[in-house]
Amino acid sequence: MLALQEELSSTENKIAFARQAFNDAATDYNIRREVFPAVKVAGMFGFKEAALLETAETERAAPKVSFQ
Amino acid sequence: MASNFFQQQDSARRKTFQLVVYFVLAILILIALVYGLLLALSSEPVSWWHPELLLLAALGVGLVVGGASAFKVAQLASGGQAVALMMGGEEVPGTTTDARQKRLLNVVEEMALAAGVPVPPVYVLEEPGINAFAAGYAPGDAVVAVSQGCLNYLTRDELQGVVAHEFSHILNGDMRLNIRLIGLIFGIMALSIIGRILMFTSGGRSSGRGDSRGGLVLLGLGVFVLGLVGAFFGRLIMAAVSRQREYLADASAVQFTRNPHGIGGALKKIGGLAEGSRIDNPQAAEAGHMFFANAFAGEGLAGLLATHPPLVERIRRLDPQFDGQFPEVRPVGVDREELEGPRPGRVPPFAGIPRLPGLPQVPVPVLGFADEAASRVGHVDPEVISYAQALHDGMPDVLRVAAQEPFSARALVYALLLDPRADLRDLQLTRLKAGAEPQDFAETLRLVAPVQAMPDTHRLPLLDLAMPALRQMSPRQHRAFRAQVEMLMIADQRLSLFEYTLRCVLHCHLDAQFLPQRQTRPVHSSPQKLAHPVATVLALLAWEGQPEPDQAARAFDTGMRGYIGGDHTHRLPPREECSLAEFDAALQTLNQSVPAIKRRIVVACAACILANQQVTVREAQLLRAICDTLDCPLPPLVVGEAEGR
Repeated sequence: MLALQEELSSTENKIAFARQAFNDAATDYNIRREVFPAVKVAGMFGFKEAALLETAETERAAPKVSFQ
Repeated sequence: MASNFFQQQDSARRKTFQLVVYFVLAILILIALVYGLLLALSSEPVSWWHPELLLLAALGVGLVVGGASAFKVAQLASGGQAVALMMGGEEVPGTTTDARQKRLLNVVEEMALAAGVPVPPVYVLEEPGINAFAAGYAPGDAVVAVSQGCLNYLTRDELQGVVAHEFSHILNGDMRLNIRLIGLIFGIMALSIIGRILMFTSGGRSSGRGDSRGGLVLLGLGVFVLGLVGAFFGRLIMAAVSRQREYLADASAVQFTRNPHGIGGALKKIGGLAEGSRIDNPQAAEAGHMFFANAFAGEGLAGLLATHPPLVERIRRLDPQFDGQFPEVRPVGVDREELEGPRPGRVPPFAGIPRLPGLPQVPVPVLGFADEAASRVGHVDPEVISYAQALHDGMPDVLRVAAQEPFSARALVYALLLDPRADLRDLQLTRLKAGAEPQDFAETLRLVAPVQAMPDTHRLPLLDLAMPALRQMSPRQHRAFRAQVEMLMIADQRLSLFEYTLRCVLHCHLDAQFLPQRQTRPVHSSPQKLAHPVATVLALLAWEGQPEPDQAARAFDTGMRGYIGGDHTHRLPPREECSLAEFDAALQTLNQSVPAIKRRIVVACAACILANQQVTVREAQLLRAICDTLDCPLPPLVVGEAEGR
């Protein structure tokens, strides 16, 4: 039971952290893309702005755990 | 005070850069001073510009400092594991049943994801204080170690903060920077040693010709003093660099966890705990710069030489409201904290920072296998669980125990690959003895008999049992292990079905952890175009299931119908034309298909196997190879009575 709790919260964290790492990297890229030396190159070679990962409302519900 | 952890990181990076520039300047000044010394001592008529003398000074200083520091760096740049063991660390096995250790492993995996580096091996130090370190020259061979005090006194969030801090050291290459600076200081020290040698050797025989000897003694004395003074300033600069890296790591820890109270709380607990962050191991003296907080009592005298900034200052940067009062620290019960239930997502970062969009506020549900490839794939029903339980119970204890320890798990795989025929086995063993570690070889010999006595149905499940232990290998061990496995496979000049499956399983579940995997984009989306490779796969599967041609043809037909979804024109090729090599090539092609097609392939294979209502061991092994190659997990098939070989 406790082990399961730990596994569940760890899995939730892992998903959240993976998403966070992606978004941090994407934000970093987006900022660099708009700062001086890079902004010229980015415009010329068509580097697009990176989209961030958003969480859909439906995915935010906590999973139901029940022990019969 | 910078209000943003990204700003804090930038500032720490900038200051580090300045300090490293100072370091380089210091070495240039050293060269200039040695040049001045040579100039002053030369008997030539005085002139300020002697290019050859400058060259001599630069070359001499450069060679001594460069050579000695390269030597020291090579000495220190051993993998992180060596350092952790030297400090008396004990590796936490992936199979640990201790709740605190399990939590530590989970936290490390989470932070590896957040920092975007490979998951390092984790060590625990038997120290009562709260401290931790990361070691290793590159992210690839890094390790993380925490003290037992961390596990006892810190909550999950605080532990996360400490581990995140260490991951920042790994990510930012602080260990490498530190080792290089230590190397340079050693190099400058070497200069003073040279000076001393110069002083004494020439001083001892100076009775000969007075003037030039005396000059040499003076030169030696000068270089000796310069080296000492240089090394002292080098230490000062290095300590300052180290303190900046600590601030950087603290700020990064907040970035990774998005929770300043985790690492802040851990720092406060260090202040409140009698043992503090002390490390008792005598070996720690050399490695103080690597720890999470000062490893020795007394920050007093050497504020300038301290490798870590004062605790209160660190906490203030994380929590501007900190009043300097450390809390009383009690051990944290794993259970009480866990019972508080799932935490409501990440705590918002510092007040006043705009939240980055896209961060989940509340727990995200655990998704099941996203694209269920077949009804069985990713689905475990009670019947299978009880079958697995029976398998588990039916396995000899000696093998089950062996599967849980990293090095005996290696030996277990070797033993699984040994041929039942005595002459071939002797050949394999001779080569294994030459190639593998001696204790691995001895362990293999011990496991041969029980492995060979075990029914074939248990072979693959045993491999699965060993997988967590195998994942604990270091990258170097993994390379050596894979080389031995390949050697054992090709010893008899042909690849058996079990060997092929074992290779697929290792490739899918073990290599993925050690080697960067190339992501292949699915290129095939039309089922009709893939009919030929599917036929190749089904043909071998059909022949493995039943030796009778008509039955095999029927099974093949069932599978093909299942795949095409109607009539088809494919015929079962004769037995001799079905080889593992072609099967493998066909599978690689199929692996590039979209998930929907993979689903049809797995369904078709299952239909082909079940056409005669029984599943043989060889069929099950083939299906396992198919599923692993296609990246579709599959629970063990329940093997029917006919255990045909």
